[in-house]
Amino acid sequence: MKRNVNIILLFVVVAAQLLWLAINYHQRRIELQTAPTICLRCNENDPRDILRGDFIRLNFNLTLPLKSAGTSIFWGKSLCEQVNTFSVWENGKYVEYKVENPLQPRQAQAPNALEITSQYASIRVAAFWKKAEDGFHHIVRIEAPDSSADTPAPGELRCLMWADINNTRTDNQRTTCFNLSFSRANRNTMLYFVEEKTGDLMRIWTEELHKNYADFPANRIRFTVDIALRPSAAAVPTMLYLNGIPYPQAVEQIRNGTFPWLPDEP
Amino acid sequence: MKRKEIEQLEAAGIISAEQASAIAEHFHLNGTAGRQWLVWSMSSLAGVLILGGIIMLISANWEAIPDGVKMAVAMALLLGAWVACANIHRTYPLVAEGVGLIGGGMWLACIALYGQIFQLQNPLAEGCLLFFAGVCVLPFLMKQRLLMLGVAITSVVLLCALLDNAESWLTLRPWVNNSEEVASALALLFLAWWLFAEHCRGAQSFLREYRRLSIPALLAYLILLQIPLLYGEVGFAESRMQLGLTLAGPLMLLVAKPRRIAWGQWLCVATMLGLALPLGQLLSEIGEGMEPIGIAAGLLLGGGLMAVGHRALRLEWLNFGTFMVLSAGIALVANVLDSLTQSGVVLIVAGCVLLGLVLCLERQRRKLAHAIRKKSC
Repeated sequence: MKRNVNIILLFVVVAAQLLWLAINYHQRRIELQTAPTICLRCNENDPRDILRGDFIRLNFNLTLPLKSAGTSIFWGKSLCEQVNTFSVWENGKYVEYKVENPLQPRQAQAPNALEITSQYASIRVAAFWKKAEDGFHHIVRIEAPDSSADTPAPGELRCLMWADINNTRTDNQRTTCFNLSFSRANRNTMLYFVEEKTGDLMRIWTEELHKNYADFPANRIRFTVDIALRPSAAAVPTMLYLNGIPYPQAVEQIRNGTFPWLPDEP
Repeated sequence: MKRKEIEQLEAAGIISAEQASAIAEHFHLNGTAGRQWLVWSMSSLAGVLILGGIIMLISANWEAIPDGVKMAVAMALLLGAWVACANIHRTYPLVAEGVGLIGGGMWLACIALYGQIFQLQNPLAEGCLLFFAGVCVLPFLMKQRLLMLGVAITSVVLLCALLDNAESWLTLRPWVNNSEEVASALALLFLAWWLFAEHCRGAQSFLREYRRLSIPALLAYLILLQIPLLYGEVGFAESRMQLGLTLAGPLMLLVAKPRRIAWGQWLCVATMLGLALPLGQLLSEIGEGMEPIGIAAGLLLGGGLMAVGHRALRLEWLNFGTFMVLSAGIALVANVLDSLTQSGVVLIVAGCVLLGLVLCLERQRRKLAHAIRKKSC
C-alpha cells in the first residue's frame, strides 16, 4: 500500500515538472512572438562549444555620454565635480565632447527617481530606442525605471538595461559615460545559439574564416542582430545577420562562394 | 523455489511484498552481494552513458527539428524514464536505479534545453534551484542512491551559487557576505547531511541505504573545520548572522539526535563536532600564536571522537577521529617546519616524527577497530 502511495507521489512530482516546463515554454513562446524587436550593429566572436552547440558571442558597443540621460536621472555633487568630458562611440572610436555648462547637482523630484551620487555606480535604467535613418535602432534617452517620465514617445521602444558609470582616461582626458548592457551577468556580451542547419559550422569558421587571422575579412562583414525586448528586462537575440543576410543562409553562401562580401575599404 | 514463482504468488495476492522479499532473501534469490554490486554498477554506468548521450543530442545540433518538438521529446523521455523505473523497481531494483538516474538527469536536460531555446542567461543559482526543487523529493519516494548523491552534491553547488550570486534576486549575499560566514554556512550544510545520514542508519525502509552519505558529509565537514582550527585561517565575523550560524550547528546536533544512540555518547559527539568550528574561528580571530592551542584542541577532539567511537561501537567515528588526530599531527609538523630553519636534518626529523605518529595511530586504530568488530559480533 505504502509503495503504491510512493509511486503516486512520484508521478505527482513528475507531473509538476512537466507542467512547469509546458507552462513556461508556452508563456515564453507567446512572449517572444509579441515582444518588440530592435536591430543593432555588433561585433562577433568565433562560435565553438562542444556541449552547448554552435553559438555566436555578440559584443555591443553600447556606450553613451551622460548627457543622454533624461530628466529623471539625477546626479550628485561628487560625480559632477569629476565630470569634465563625455565620450561618444562614433565610427569605431571614442569622440570626446565637453560637458555643457558644468553639471549641477540636482535633487530628485520624484520619490522613485534615480539619483547617481558616485562614480562606478551600477544601476538599472529604462532605455528608449528609436530606428534611425541608417536602419538600426539607437538609444535616444535613458530614464530611471518607473519614474514619472518613463513612458515611450511615439515611435520609441522601451527596455530595461544595466548601466555602469565608467570613468576612463583617453589621451589624458577623463571621460565619463554610461556603459549599457542587456544582461548584468555578461556585461556587454550575449551568447547567441545559432541553428546553422548545415551541420558543418565549425569547419566553415575554422577553415575559411579563421584559417589565418591576418586574412580574416572582418572589415568586409557587417554583423547585425535582431533582439526581442522582453518585458522582464531580459533581451533575447532572435536572428544574426551577416551583411543583412540571415545567418544560416549566409553561412551556406560563404560555403558555395556566393556570399556578397562588402568591398574592401581603402 | 524460483524468483518467478514468488512474483506470481505476490501478484495473486497470496503473499505481501514484504513476505515476497523475505522469501527471496531466504532462498538467496536476490543474487550474491558481489553480483548485486556488479549489476548496480553496470546499471549505473548504462544510465550515465544513456543520459550523457541524450544530453549531448539535445544540447548539440537538433537543427532540423522545431523547438517545440525538441522540448516534447525531452519531456516524453523524462516521463518514460520514470514510468519504466516505477514498473521495474520491484523486479529489477538495481536496473531501476539507473533508469531513475536517467529520469532525474532528464529534468536537468529539460531545464538546459529550455534555457537554450529561449537564450536565457540566468545565473547558475536559478537553474540549480529549479533542478534541486524538482528532484530532491524523488529519492525519498523510491530507492535512488545515485540520485540521492546527486541531490547532496546539488545542494552544495546550490549553496555556493547562492552565496556567489551577487547580481540576482536569488542570492544570500545580503545576509551572508564574508568568508567567515560562508565557511559557517557550508559547515552547517555538511553537518545537516551527516545528521540525515545518521538518521537513515536507523531507518527500517530503503532510506537505510542512504547511510553511506555520512562518510563524504562528515569528511567535508572535518576538512572545513580544520582550516580555522589548525591553520588559523578564516576567523569569526562580528555579525548576527555569524552568531546565528555558529549557534545553529550545536543546536542542530542536540535537536536531531539519532534514536539508536545513547544521550551520553551523543552529547560527547555533539560537543566534539559542534564546538570544533566555532572554537577554531575564535582562535583564528584572536590572532597569531594560537596555532598550538588549535592543534592541541584538534588532537583532543580527534582522540575524543576515537574514544566515543570505541565506546559506541561505531567504526566510522573511530576512523574520523583518527583522521582528525592525523590532521592535527600534520599541522603540528607543518608548524614546526615553518618556525625552524628548513635544513635537511629538520626535514628528516619531521618526516620521522610524522611516520612515527602515523604508525602509532594506525596501530591504535586497528586495535580499537578489532575490538569494535569483536563486540559487534
